[in-house]
Amino acid sequence: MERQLVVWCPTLLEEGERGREARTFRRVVEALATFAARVDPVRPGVCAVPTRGPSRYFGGDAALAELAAAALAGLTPDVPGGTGGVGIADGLFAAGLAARAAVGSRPVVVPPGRTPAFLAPWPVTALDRPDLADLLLRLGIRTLGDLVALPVPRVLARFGDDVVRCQRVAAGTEGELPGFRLLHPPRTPRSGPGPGRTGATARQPGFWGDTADVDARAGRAVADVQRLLDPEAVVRATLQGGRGPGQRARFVPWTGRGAGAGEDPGGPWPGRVPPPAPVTVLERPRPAQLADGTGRTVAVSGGGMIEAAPARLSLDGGPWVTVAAWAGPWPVDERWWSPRGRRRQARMQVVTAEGTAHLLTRERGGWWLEATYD
Amino acid sequence: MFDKVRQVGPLSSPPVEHGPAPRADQDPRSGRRPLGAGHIDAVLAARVRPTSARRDQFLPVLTPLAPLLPGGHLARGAVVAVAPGGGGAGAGGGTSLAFALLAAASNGSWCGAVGTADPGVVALTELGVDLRHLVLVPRPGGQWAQVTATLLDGLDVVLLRPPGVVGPGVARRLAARARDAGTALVVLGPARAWPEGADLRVTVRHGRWEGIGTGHGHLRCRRVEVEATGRRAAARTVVADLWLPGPSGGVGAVAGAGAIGARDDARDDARDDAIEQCGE
Repeated sequence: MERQLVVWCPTLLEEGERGREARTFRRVVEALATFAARVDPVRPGVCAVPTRGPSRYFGGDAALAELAAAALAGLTPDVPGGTGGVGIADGLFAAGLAARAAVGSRPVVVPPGRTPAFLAPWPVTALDRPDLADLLLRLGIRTLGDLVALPVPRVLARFGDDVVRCQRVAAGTEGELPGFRLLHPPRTPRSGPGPGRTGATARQPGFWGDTADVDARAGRAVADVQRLLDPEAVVRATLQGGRGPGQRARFVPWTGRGAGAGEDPGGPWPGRVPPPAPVTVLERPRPAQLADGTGRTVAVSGGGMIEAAPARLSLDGGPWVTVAAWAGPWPVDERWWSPRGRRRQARMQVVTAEGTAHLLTRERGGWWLEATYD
Repeated sequence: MFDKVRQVGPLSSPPVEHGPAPRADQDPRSGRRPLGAGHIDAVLAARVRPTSARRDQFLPVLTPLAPLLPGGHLARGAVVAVAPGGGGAGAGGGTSLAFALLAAASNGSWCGAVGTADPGVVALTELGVDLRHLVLVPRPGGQWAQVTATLLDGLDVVLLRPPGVVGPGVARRLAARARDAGTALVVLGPARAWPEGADLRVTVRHGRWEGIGTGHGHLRCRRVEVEATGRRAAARTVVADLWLPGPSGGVGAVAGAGAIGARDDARDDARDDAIEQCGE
């Protein structure tokens, strides 16, 4: 898990109509960028600096935190509202809490490996999931430590995937809550120290380097494509926990570093589709029709059984093809505890007479093409 | 508010950085740099690296794919056209084969994929692709040729799935760009999608899924017959029997089908043996 420095500016968390907060926040990010090669704006009023490189460069986490606090302090006289807390911990979530604790006082640095102990006493409201916090408090689960103490299979059975993820974050075994990041990296790709940066404090060299390097070449090509299209058109893929092939993939805009890669995709995910995985997974499933020998749509009963063998398949209104082999259905009933987020699904693998294999999903009375084993 | 920290100020002289030791999973030939390495190392490295890292280094491929490629590796500057057989429909397998071709290279070199709109990330890792070195441009829109050309300049292998048939002019320009940059270009699409003479054409001829019946089992592995035809030094046709994917998602050579290019009945026996292995 990546160690992060977070700057938390409580007065800038809400963006006002006149844009003053956004402008001030940009000044904060720029102040940090004078010494850190990479500053990730996370959400309004919150930004992060992965500490691995800069801490080594500047002589440790404490020195880096003081540098960040000094940069902020240098802003405050002429930038009203540019105050904030500086925290360092393992993972974005813990570093954010450390930074919140540091608002109005000295930086809080949680030593490596001590993050679980640091997180345990925080109230469950720190997860920023109000509905979940209400429920947990009614059950007498008050702190993150209480949540971590619950057996994972019970949490999974009672609350589902999302809360297991929260539990892993609360335990310090996973770095950040899904949905916490709201901002994307700045449009201009990093390069060497630009004009106007001279006179700033020593600057840590960037990942792409300021020298001719294989990585630098790759970085420049990526930056050129980002300028040509849009920064978010260039992505890297990472793996995360989940049941369906689509849920396990996460695409993040390319920012130049291996951030997020190597995340632990482990964890209990009963109902996963068995390997091998499909090599094409549609971002938006496309409608499909699966019919039995008499031409009627194949239905999945409440008990998760099909009532007739599939005989023909049509994708996206295309021509009918004969089904040569099939397996399933495998029922998936996700988020059953939440009436709104509830998804009742069943999955089937279908091989056509041509030999192409598809993963189909039955949901809301229709069949959908979810993935193809191309 | 920052009274205490303001006393501290920035550090006047940062400690000299020697850079971390290379990690075990880094390929020393690739020239990839550990993160956060210092100026001195970088400057030195830049002096000694350029020619050796880019030109002489060949791009490795997964062992089961090596018989298909002249010299057993991806040639820098070459164009490899990958096609599913049977005029587009067929048994598929083209996408898996294209990503499998860059899997070994991605463990140490930079790879890109342009126009592969909905990649199955789990499958890519099962094929052996290192996601940390894969730059994805899933939806380049009308700019796909320009995007591909730009990536060819900076990466080591670029996989392109063009939206349709590539015009001869565009194909010539991209091939020239790949040659100049010393980057391998893998084009995925029906055989007619790439008009210019590719250095190597790789086609999935037949594919058959194992492990799935009518209402039982699940997709376990696919046996494919892949044909490679080259030009110039590689002007020969090679046929290989592969598991694509094998039971754990990777690529495997079909055991007993080592007689490459042979088309005889002995293979059918080997095939039956291999199916039994696969089913285990």
